[in-house]
Amino acid sequence: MPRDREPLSVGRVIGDVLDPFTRSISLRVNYNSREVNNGCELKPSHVVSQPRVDIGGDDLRTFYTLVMVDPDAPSPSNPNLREYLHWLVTDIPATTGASFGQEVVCYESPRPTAGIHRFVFVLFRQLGRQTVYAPGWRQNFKTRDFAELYNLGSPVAAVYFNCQRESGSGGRRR
Amino acid sequence: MGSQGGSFEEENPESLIGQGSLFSLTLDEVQDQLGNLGKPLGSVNLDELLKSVDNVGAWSSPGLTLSSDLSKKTVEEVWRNIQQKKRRDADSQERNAPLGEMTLEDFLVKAGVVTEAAPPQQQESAQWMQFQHPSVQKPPYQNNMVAGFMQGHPVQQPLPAADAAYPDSQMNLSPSSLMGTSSDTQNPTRKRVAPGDVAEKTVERKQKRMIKNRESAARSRARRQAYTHELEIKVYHLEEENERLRRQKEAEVLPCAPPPEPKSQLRRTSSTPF
Repeated sequence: MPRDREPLSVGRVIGDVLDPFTRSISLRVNYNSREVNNGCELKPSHVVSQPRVDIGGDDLRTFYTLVMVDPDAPSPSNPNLREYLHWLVTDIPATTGASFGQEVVCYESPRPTAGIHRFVFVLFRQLGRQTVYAPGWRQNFKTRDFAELYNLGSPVAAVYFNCQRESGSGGRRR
Repeated sequence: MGSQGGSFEEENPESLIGQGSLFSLTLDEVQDQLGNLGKPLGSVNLDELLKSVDNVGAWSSPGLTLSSDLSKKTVEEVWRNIQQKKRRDADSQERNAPLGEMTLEDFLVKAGVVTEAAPPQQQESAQWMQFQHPSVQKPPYQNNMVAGFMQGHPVQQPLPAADAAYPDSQMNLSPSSLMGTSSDTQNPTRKRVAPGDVAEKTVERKQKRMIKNRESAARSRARRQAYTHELEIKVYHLEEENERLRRQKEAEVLPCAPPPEPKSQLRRTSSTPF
């Protein structure tokens, strides 16, 4: 498919958070049987608890890292906390799910106050089992730098959804 | 204060006096003057450096304070810090001169050594390190002007509208303002409420708003398009799968063995003799 029709590009996830990559592992994220499709919208009340994450691959000895970030914190028109780290799980064996991995940074419920935020899940393949240290704080996390620091290479999968205030009616106020 | 400049050859090396005279020397020259240090300038503690300079009597205002953590560092380390800061500050127009060529003044300012309120030009320089734009104090600037005082003093300009979306921690100084000239007397952000300014600000605000609006609209379009593409792709895949499954189902039916026989009917083949 031509690059410019790829939802991750059009939604600027590739650009703001990631560099272009080739998908190679399946990544399915489900919040209470609501599956996350790129660009779909979920309410904060739907995403309070951590989702079920199922990954593909074939070799149980291969391990993956899952990162969940909000690149639009605190608001999309002024994202000076980009990216806000919501969840970090490592050592997920292929063909299993996030619940089989090591939760390095626990899941924090999305609670956007201003604007419509994107919440991005990124999956990386690890070279082997590795120790990953939690960053000192959640804001201003850089997925690109994190991947470089731990030699994770390019992402193998990514998916994102949109989320705004529970009672929001969309978009920028001022 | 006599004519100050880069040339100190005619002065008695033993008696460097005068405010700012030592400041304008490059660190190389300072090292020469302070020959009694006994070790290369790089490994000198900031504490020692200041003491030596003090001894030479170069400070006119001895009340400089040195924060405790700074004083322990060697010149070498502080220089490295400065270089790191420079690299981070992508907008900086300062030349990346090697340590020896930087003036003592620049070095001290950048090290954050200079903390006291007076002399004024030092304070302004120190404040340059924090990305604030204090209003420039013009008179002292010109009175104490030392030729070697090359501190690039930023003149605050109205932020270009496009940058309004981002916090002030980004340095958005236009290049011309950075290598501050001593004769710069225009300061547009002086607190003057002239009618021209007010109108200008309104226009500025309108522009900022328009740009923000545009960005928001672009994000909105991107959102919509991304979702539409995603759904189209999903639909395509689902249709394919559907087709495949249907074909598979039909394929299963034809070569299939005829439906299993109804359960075999019992037939009498012989009667048992009772």
